Amino acid sequence: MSEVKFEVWTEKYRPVTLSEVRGQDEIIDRLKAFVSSKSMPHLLFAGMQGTGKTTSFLALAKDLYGDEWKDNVLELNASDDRGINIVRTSIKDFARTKTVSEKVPFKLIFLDEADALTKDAQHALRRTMEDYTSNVRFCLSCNYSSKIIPPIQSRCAIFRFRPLKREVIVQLLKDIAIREKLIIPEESSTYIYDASEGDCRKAENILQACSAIAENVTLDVVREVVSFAEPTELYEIIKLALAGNFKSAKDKMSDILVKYGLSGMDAIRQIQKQIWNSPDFDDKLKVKLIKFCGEYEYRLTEGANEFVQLNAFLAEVVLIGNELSPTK
Amino acid sequence: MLIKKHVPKKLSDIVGQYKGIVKFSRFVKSQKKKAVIIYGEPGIGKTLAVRVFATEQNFELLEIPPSGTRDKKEIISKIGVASQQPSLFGGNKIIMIDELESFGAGNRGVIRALIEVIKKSNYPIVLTSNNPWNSKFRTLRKYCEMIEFDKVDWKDIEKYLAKICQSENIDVEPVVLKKIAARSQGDVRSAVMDLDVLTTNKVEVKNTDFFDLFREREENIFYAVKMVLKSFDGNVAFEAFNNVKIDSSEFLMWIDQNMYHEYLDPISLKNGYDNVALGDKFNNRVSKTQNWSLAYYPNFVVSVGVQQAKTRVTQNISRYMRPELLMKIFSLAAKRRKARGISQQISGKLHASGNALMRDFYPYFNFILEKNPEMGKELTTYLESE
Repeated sequence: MSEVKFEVWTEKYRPVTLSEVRGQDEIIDRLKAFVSSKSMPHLLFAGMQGTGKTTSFLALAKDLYGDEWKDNVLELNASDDRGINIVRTSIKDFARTKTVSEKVPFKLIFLDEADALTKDAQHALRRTMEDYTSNVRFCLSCNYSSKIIPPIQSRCAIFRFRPLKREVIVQLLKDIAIREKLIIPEESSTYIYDASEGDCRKAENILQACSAIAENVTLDVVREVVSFAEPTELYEIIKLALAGNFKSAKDKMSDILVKYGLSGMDAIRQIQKQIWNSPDFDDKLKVKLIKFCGEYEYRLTEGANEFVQLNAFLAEVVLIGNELSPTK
Repeated sequence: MLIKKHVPKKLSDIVGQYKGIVKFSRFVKSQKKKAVIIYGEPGIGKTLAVRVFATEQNFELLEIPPSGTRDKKEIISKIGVASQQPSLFGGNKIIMIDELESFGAGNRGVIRALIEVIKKSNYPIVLTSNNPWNSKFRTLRKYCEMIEFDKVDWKDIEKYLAKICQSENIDVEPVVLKKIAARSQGDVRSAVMDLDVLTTNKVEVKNTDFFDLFREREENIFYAVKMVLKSFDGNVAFEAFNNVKIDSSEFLMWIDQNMYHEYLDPISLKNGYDNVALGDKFNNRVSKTQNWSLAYYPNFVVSVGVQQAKTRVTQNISRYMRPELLMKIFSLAAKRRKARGISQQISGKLHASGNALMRDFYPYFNFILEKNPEMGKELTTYLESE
């Protein structure tokens, strides 16, 4: 492969072997045992994004098959590859052919975001899993294992990936910084960790974006990147609405949606998070506001015009603000 | 008429449907399935793409126009015969049924018969549709490849309109083209027709002409908005609303734009918005179920519902405004479409779903593209490489 000057760091620094995977020690130990015995059950990886599910799977595959891993692995995504039928056909086509590897008696299928499948689709998947159990092992990945039907769960060894700890991500960022000749103070990596919420992919992407504008990754640099990519000012809108300033709140909301390409659903989730983290509201008020977030997040799924639904939410917040300190 | 005069002659002239057209020509070549449903909003070029494809690639095209009440049995047997017999000139042939909905209206036997024809057909059969997800077409869908045509980006429409104006030697103020494009909501055909009305017998069009054209309708809308926000008599509001030919989904944006000037106390505003939001929800139900008898309810709540939500009427004289939301909705949709498109394309390379990348990767990638174009270019090359 020719030397490329820039790569996406999440790929460049993706661990190749299981030993290099960080922050999930117990899981990695058990996966290593599968590699040495060359036998394993179906796997179910549960955990939030960026905790190492895909990475652990790929490392497992590379450890098992060495250079031939690509011939023995099928990667699928349940939420992108439209419908179970496509998933099923590609699984069948892949499973029908014999195992290429001489060392390992089975091939691997990785189904990412398996919880995106409907119940019916999951039942169909269960049957498929049984049909090819002799020469294929499945590894399903999902955010919540509870969204996977029990019959599939009971056929899998379940691994729960915890969000990566602060130390792990901070260390990782430091290591990358050294390789990329960047200077990163502790406060910057801590800020990146907070913004990433333990999502390793996001943390690395933030750092790479920082590297596009500076070699010295100061806190200001990180802040610039994060506020470019994410609406950090949504709770300001809530403050405007609480103060009774409906028009400004409404205008700002629609501007932010367009600026960040945010869906109404993304917006309300961000608002809910920012309300909870903001020191400006007391806990009683936070409860009141977040209850409405819950109501309106649901209404957004039922409605068609996200702007209008969010404005209705803001009208609700104005009323809360008015009850707190009535104007007249 | 502009629309007739400027019908694209080549596939490359069709605005904003590149992806769909590629998929379609792949379908015709591979013939994995015998039929295809091309679906999408009205006026975005579905039928047109098939027609132009046929001419450009030398296919004979048998077109079954929207049929309404005509005898379906006869039409089906006509298609059946055509799908068996060789093409007139010995070449290839495409059969197109325009507007599946109107074709399939009425009894279920029609669709069943159509499936039988598809099974036996020697030639590709194309069905166009605005909404193929009706349960009535469930079985039919199994026999068809599904190709979606996107709404056309308003910027593309704007460019297209500008091109037409140029070749017609009409001087139109750019902001007018922008407004027509935004109004069209991705419907190229309606945009060209608006342009046509606006430019007939003129060599120069100014921003003010735009308002003249749409004023009458808008005056009625303004009146309806006023009756909703200012009066208390339900009949008056409902009648004013029904007098304007306006969809409740559009009308609620007018209310959204103007209500806060009038409903000054927080309780009225909140109750008003409850009705607007409810109207939006009801509307969504109508379009999801395609059960048009439900359309009464969104109409009712966005007019009378909003009207009754207020506790008192403000005395100030309001100047009502056109909804700014239309343009915003459009830009947001375009932005998200772009983000999703890119994210999905690189999902294999980065071992993550398009959804995950849209959230975790795309915004930061965008930052790099904007702030450090050189690095952005290198990354793009990397992402595009095999």
